[in-house]
Amino acid sequence: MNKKCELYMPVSGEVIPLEEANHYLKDDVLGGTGVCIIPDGDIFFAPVSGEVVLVSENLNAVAISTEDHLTILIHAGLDTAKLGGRGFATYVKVGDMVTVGDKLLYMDRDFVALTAKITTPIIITTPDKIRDLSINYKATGAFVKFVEISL
Amino acid sequence: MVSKEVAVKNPTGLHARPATLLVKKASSFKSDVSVEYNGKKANVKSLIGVLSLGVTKGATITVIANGEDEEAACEEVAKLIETLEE
Repeated sequence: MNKKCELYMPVSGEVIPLEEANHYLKDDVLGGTGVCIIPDGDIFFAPVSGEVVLVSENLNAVAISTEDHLTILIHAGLDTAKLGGRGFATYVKVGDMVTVGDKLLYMDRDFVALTAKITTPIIITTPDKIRDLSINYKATGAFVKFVEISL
Repeated sequence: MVSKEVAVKNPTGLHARPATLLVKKASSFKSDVSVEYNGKKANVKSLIGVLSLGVTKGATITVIANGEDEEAACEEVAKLIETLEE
């Protein structure tokens, strides 16, 4: 029996390959499994249901662990840790249970774009659990299914 | 088991970019590698684990390696932390 996990767009915007973010970062750091979104909105919603396992001190990243033990990391923007939380706010804390569509974090795109990049990697940090991954690069609206993971 | 204390000089601490480099480095070894900070311990082969520690600039952390290549694992992970610039 094939188990599937679906991710829904956490924000409206453009979906691009994860590797594109590496062009901005000096080293080939993002060698993980995932995708990037260039957001059209300032609020990010949960792409999947589960337990919040990480809320970064810089308020720019939230990770959710699903009931299938997949961990999805939403890292708002690139190079945004240096802002030390300025331009960011979070709506959840570690331990919270969230459902698809719950508010996770806020990023002031205009402010962030002045000194960093708003391109947002969505990374599955438990790649060993994945048998197959398919990404819909045509998705643009928030809450639209854009990633299907086969476990 | 081998352990080494190391200072984090990186101005933004162990955030996503340096954490990803650490995970890559630690994952190249057979040994279990963990890092202890502020009474908390994290598996360095887990990105979320490292990020959850919230290590900031100026922190002193302890790298612990356990396994057949523990000497090299501890040495190289500690060296990577020491040389993080961003």
